[in-house]
Amino acid sequence: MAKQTKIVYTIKERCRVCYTCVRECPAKAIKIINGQAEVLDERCITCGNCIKVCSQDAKVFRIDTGDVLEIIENNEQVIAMVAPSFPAEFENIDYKVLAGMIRQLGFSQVVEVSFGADLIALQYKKLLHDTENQSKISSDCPAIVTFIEYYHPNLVPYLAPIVSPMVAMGRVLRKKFGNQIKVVFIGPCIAKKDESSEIDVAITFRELRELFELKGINPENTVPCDFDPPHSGKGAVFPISRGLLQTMEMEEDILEGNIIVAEGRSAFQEAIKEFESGYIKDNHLELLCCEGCIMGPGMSPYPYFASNARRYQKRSNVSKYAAVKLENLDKEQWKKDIEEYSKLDFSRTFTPSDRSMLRPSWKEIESVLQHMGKFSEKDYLDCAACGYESCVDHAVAIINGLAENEMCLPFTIEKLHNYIRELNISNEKLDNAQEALKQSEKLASLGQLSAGIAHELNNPLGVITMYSNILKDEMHDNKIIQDDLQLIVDQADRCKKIVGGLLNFARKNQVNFTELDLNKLIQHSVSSVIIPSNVNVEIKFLKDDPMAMADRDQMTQVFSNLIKNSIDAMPDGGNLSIEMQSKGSDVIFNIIDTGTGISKDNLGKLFTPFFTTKPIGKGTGLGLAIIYGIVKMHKGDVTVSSNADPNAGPTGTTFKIRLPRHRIE
Amino acid sequence: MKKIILIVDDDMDYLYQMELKVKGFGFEVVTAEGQQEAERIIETFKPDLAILDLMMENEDSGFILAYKMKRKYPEVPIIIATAVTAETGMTFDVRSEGDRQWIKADLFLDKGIRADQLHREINKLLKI
Ligand code: SF4
Ligand code: SF4
Repeated sequence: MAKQTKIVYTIKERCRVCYTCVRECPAKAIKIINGQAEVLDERCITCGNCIKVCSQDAKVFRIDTGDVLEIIENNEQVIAMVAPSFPAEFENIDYKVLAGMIRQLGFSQVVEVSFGADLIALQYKKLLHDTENQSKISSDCPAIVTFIEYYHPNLVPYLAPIVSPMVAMGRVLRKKFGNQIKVVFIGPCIAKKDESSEIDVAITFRELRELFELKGINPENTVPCDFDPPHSGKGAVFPISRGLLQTMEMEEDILEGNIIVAEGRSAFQEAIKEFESGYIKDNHLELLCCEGCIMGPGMSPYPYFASNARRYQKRSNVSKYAAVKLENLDKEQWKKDIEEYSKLDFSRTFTPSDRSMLRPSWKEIESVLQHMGKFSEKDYLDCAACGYESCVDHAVAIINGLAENEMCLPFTIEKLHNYIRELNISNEKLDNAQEALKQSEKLASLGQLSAGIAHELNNPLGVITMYSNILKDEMHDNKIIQDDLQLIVDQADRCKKIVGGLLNFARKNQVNFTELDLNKLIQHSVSSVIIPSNVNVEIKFLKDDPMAMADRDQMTQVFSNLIKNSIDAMPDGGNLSIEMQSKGSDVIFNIIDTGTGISKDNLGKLFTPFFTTKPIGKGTGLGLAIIYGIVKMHKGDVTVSSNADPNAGPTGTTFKIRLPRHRIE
Repeated sequence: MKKIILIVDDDMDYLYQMELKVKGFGFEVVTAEGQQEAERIIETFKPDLAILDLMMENEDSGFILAYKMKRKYPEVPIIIATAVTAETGMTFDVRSEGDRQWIKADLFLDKGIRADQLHREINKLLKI
């Protein structure tokens, strides 16, 4: 694997796209792309906030322990310098034991950065004295320095041109031991990793623990020893709040009221904004990205929220250590050291490098907002669910290619709602298709059924015809009985034809198309049914061409069945109207009754063979299934609409049949 | 005395063939070319056995004829011969109880039956 060059990056497999890191990133350096949170190296100030807040451990920093081991192996003199926050990390290990453990790793010396802090504090004191009314921004937090260089380049002149305690200590060591030495920084901060080329490798306490583990070093097998000189004074309290202030011993100084300490990602940003807008122009800003270096991302264990409670414990550990140190301090030696090394050059320069987001025109922003369904101010919820403070900020980030529309929760929810709607529609379509499939299955099963029934009925009908004929012959002297027998013969013949039709239907045979007068067909169908006196029948015949090609018997069956059904639906009487009208090359028949209607549940089962609402013995339940089959064989449609609920308006059922004329032009 | 067999069929060629065949078995033969003619014949004449075609003037002429004959001469055996049963769409079997109730015939034969088989069946019915 190629060496990781980015300090902070995402382990994509772990990212659950919660946008927490986006929200917590002061630099807006996290881009959501294809639903993953990617750190943009060119925007990242390596503050490590995202690492601390990601509950999925998807954000990690570069591990440089390999470099440390390599440097130790290849160099004579490698000096470790430990940041003053170490008592917060190693609270159960005495500092002398810790120094011994670090030395065991192969370092020739182990020193404390806090002596550098002592020196730097003096530099600040001097700077503030010399430029009495010119406010400054402290530059000891590298993430803050980068933040100002990138996003507030106009404030670069206010940055105190003083190196950090780490770099200062590096210079001290090089002065003391020469340029051939290698220097390794060990601290709570990941921003230190790339802060200065004067430090060879910078690792975190976490990585230090890894090294101990790797080398099997533990307090029990360690010979304690003190840190190597030069020893520090108050610099040991540097990492905790107002550390610089105390280090500077400026309690009674007139400047005190003018120093504003802002720690943590929200506070420092606010302070910068206020400073920039001129409200606190006369103040000196002491800014830290973390809530004190003791809360740096290189501290272990990570969890930021969980360890919040331990913040004060950490502070107290640091102060306790500082107190012990001060007590045992050889003041004379310290003064001598300070004097000696103060002569070194601790100045530095900064390079503004504007990377602030492009500020698009309001029109552009508006159009992006509209895209997310935000059309007016009241739609700008500013809920921050997306990770941006306001809808407008989110829109700007989108335009800058950092964010995606989908990060807007209300927008995404709305979109989901739309999906659900669309899904419902396609479900409905599916249902319809399924319904159609069911109907054709019904037809198929009906076909089989018809074949069976037809065969069963054929013989009895044949016998009826035959014996009626025999009887009729023998009754040649009794006209009345003969007529009755003729009726039996006719009706049995009709039955045989229907059965024959069923057989045809079963064999999927063609319909026996003949030219029919539909008006006559309807008339005939109506007269074949006994109409009760309380039912009023009204027929609207075709006024234009009444002719169509259809199977006479089958169509008669269709209409007499429907008419019978309608009448059965009106036990208390009512109106039956049959309306016929031409529509293109089709004829539409509406058979409308004012009966009791068909319940919604039953409506779907209507064309199922053997489904009937009539009492047992009253109907076979085949009627509608056969009607359906016949109409389908004529390439027409049957649809039914019905209302069975008196509260929803007049009840009744309408069967609508569309029958193509099948005329050969 | 030679037994007399009535053969009824509206297909002249088939009727002639049958006549020859049955005469060849050593029987006397009387023929009729349809239901009506046959009805007239049996009014005055009683055959010893009848072979009736099924579909003649009507699809069920053979059945009607058989019915009428049995009423007049219950003891005369009747064979109904037809080409394909499916012609009428009806399927029947004189051996089944249900069909026996309405088909007044003793035997149901396929028209393509072999001569010797036919002879055997006739003899059986005539109890020779
Ligand atoms: S905090 Fe960032 S890296 Fe972690 S899961 Fe959420 S989006 Fe992904
Ligand atoms: S380290 Fe800081 S600046 Fe970099 S991505 Fe994480 S939160 Fe943003």
